[in-house]
Amino acid sequence: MLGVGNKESLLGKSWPESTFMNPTDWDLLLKMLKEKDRIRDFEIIYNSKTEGSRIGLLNGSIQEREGVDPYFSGVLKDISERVNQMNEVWQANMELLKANEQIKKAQEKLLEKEKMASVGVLAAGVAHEINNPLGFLKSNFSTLKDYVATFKNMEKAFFERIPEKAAMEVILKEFDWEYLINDAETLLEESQSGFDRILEIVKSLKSFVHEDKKEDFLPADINTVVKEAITLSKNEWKYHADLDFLHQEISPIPMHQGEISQVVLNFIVNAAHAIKEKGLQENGRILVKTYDEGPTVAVSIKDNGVGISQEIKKKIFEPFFTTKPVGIGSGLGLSISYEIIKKKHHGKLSVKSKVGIGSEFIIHLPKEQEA
Amino acid sequence: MVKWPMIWFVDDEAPILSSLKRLMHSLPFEIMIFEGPEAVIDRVFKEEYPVGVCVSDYRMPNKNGLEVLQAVLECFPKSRRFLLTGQGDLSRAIEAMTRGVIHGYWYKPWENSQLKKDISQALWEYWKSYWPSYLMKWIMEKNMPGVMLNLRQEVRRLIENPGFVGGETWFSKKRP
Repeated sequence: MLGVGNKESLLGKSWPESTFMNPTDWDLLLKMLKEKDRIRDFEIIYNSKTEGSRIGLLNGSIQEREGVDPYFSGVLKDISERVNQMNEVWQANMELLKANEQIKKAQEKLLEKEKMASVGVLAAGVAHEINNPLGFLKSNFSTLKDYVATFKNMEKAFFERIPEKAAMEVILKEFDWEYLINDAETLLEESQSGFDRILEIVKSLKSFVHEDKKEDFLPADINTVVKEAITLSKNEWKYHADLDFLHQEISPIPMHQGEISQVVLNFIVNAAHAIKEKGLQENGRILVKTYDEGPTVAVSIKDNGVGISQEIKKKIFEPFFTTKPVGIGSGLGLSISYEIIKKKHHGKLSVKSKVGIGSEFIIHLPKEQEA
Repeated sequence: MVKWPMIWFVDDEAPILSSLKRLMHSLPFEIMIFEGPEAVIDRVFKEEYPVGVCVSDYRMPNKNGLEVLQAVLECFPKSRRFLLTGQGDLSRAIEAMTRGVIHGYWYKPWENSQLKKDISQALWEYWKSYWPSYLMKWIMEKNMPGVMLNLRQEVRRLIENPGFVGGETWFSKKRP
């Protein structure tokens, strides 16, 4: 087995230390033999002259007999094959585990995709179903406003044309006309703002609807688009932040210009809100950057606002998730941005953020859209 | 005898129809409403009065708005036809526009003033295709800003005028 000779020629010779591939095995063996005179299933890596490095299992004990020096007698069993097999099994197992992990990850991604897709379908359906009742509600509401205005004019006409003014005043007082007609106006005005909010939400829900029309994708200069968004959002940031726009010459890439502008605007407004929320004495900073990066063009929007915690970061792209007070954020901005960048433009959207330090949103748009 | 062109509204939701009717109340137009596509199909082939403008919902049971408007087109080729839709996807509407089945579309929810203006405009277009151009010119010169509101009275006066020609032939209708 060791490849150094037959049984007779070896018997009684001392076992060369060099048999052990691993010197610590030898030391350990000696130490164990000093403590007790039996060893069981001691695993060693030994050197076989014919087969090279092998794995063996050593069983044996110290023998003490009259007239002979104590010696070690034992059996070394080659378990290389078994260990190798086990090794293979183990390796295969590891690979399986790895594959499993990957599948899990892919599944998670798929699930997320699926979730967003079904959100799109749902949103389109909801928008359609709401639009019908909203249609007549809005129309009737606006007609009712006209009616109330007419009633007011009618009152005026009554006073102008009917001689019995005193009697009319009594009747009007009896029915609390003054209060009712004025309150009706306020009531309608207030309800109108609620209406407007619903309309806005349903309108943005519509953005989820996939209309894969290639003719909407026209080559456009990203810098122009970003500049437009900066100008449009100026009212949102000018009181809380200084905005810098760093850009390099980038050749036009295909995009849906209006939508990309909407996304960038959305990020700038969010940055402004994050800065405002921090409540700094001096102005905050928003840095907008465009740059060329491999097969993509990137837009980065960085702020030194409140930042986003890890926990919230996971949810920011979910529809209707918002940290803003009621009426300010619908919770749709980022999910729509996600839809526009990832689904429609096949780009990437990433976010880096630290609480108290600020956030950076980066959009990557591919230079070429697949036909 | 002269027959007044009408405005037809088609929708499967009654409240939408009454809103539309309410909206057009102040305008001097003849309005007819149809709850669902079948009612229109039943009526359109027998209709004596010309359909000037037809506005239909898109998604309705059994037949969609474009099928309804196609039937209106067959019976009243000079009518102006529109979709009023809650649908986000407009590819079919646009395609129908290129085929000449419809002249335009609006989204739900609509803007009352816009819809009023557009429908009046459409009826005006319809009229224009029937009246001799010198008459149109006369109407326009006479009272352009308020012409849509007063059109009915103006036209009635014109028709009752003995010198008026073309009253009988101002619409044509194809029957199946």
